Amino acid sequence: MTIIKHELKANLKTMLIWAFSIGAIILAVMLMFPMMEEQLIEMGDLFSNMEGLSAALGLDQLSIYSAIGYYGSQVGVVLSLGGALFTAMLGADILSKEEAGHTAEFLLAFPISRANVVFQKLIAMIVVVFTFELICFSMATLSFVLIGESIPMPEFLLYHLAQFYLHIQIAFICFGISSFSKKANTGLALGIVTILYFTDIMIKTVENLEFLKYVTPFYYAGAGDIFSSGKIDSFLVFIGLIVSIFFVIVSCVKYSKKDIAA
Amino acid sequence: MNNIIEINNLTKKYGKARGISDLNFSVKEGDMFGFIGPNGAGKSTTIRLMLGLISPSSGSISIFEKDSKENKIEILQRVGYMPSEAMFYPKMRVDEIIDFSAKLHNKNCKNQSSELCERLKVNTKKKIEELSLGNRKKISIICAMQHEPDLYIMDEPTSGLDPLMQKEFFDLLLERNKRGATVFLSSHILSEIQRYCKNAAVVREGKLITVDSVEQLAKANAKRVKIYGICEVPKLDGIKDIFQKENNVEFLYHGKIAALINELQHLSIDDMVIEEPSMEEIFMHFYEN
Repeated sequence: MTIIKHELKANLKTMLIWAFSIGAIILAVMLMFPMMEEQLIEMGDLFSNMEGLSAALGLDQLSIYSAIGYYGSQVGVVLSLGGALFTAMLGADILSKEEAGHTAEFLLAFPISRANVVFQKLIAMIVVVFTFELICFSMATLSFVLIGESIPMPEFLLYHLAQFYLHIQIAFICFGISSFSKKANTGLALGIVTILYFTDIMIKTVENLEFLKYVTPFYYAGAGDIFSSGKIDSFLVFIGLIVSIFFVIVSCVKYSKKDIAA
Repeated sequence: MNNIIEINNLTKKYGKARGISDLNFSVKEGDMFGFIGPNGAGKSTTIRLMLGLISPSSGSISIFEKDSKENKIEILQRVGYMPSEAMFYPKMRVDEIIDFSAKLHNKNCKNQSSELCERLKVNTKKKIEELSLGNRKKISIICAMQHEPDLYIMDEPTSGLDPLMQKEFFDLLLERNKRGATVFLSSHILSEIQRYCKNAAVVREGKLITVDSVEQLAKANAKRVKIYGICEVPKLDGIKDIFQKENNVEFLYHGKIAALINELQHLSIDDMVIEEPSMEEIFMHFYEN
């Protein structure tokens, strides 16, 4: 428990900054919806003439005229990509910062197993990501209330759960990779997110790349599918689970055995 | 007396240069044991192996008569470790760090920690990032001592501490030692080893040079000889570290005293002094060959 509490405290400020920044963008973009409704009709026509772009934004399945369509296509990117950047950096940093900051020598000389350290840090990471999602979810809900639009449940909830799942999966991947490293991994984290995100864009815009959906978690968490069908591809979610578990085991095994850098 | 630390054929290979090879020594219960060597000799590597921060390439370590790999957690419960680099989480306050470390030991150390803070004159409300190296070292001392361990492992503990604090630190260590705790003190400052330790091991370039009582080490058969009235060096084997001046000569002599006196008989000397060399000089000796 000690390390969990310690990590929650250490990450609280950064998490709040990210959550409220993304929440504020969600609010701002959604508050523009009533003013933009008319223009959106024109934009909708425009988008329908640009297949690639509209597919990338999920507008091939969503209608930008509706509040939820507008939310999914305009706000979805901010939440999924912004959240992924935050959680990737969190995951890449939470374990490797001990060696990078030379505090591993202090922490690991206590009577506590390495696996326990990894476990507590993982729990702290999950709690931080969950709180982040909760704040974003609350602010998104608030934005619908403020513009007087009804929220389509359960799709809205399912979408936010998918975001949580996506973000935690990315955090696990970065956590696993960072257990091999002796220094801060911000660049690596940003690189992983960028590659996975653009893989998703490629799938949606380029033909015959459908098979890549097994690679990027951005695919199953896309707003288009979830809001139009009200469902999520459970097989892809299952793959996500396997990937997450794999990286957790990797980090545990690797961290338990590795020589800690001086 | 039991062996608190026992190191058997310990080897750690890193790439080419660093690391240690085939180290063997033991530390008895209740000892103040010095671990001497220049920078890069492998002192920290040995300590990090003892704590399980790194794994040996071969050989074994037993602490409290238990294998250090198999019983790591059990051992660490009874160890107080002070790393050479006193690094903590920069955003935390001193009292938070002390509390964090007590909790990781699962012990209430309030009395001990407040006594230690008082004796070491620590301001517990400051943030770690505001502290100088010396002040961080003090936090390190508190974190290593507050849970009253049976074995203290100190890696170059006095660097950065002012002389008054060094004295306070050694007073604390000696008190704990008197109450039965064992101290393992790594240092390259020989005078402090000579002053406070009973036994010591000397390492150089990853190899053990010698283990002995500090008293024996200080003798080491060598004498510092100062001769007045002549300035040429006597023709003898075992003469080192020569200083020649106008009317005197000074050197370190490693050999039979009779041979020295025999040689000096024919010389017109005014005066001479034969004394025990300082440990620094002996160390240079070990270091040279």
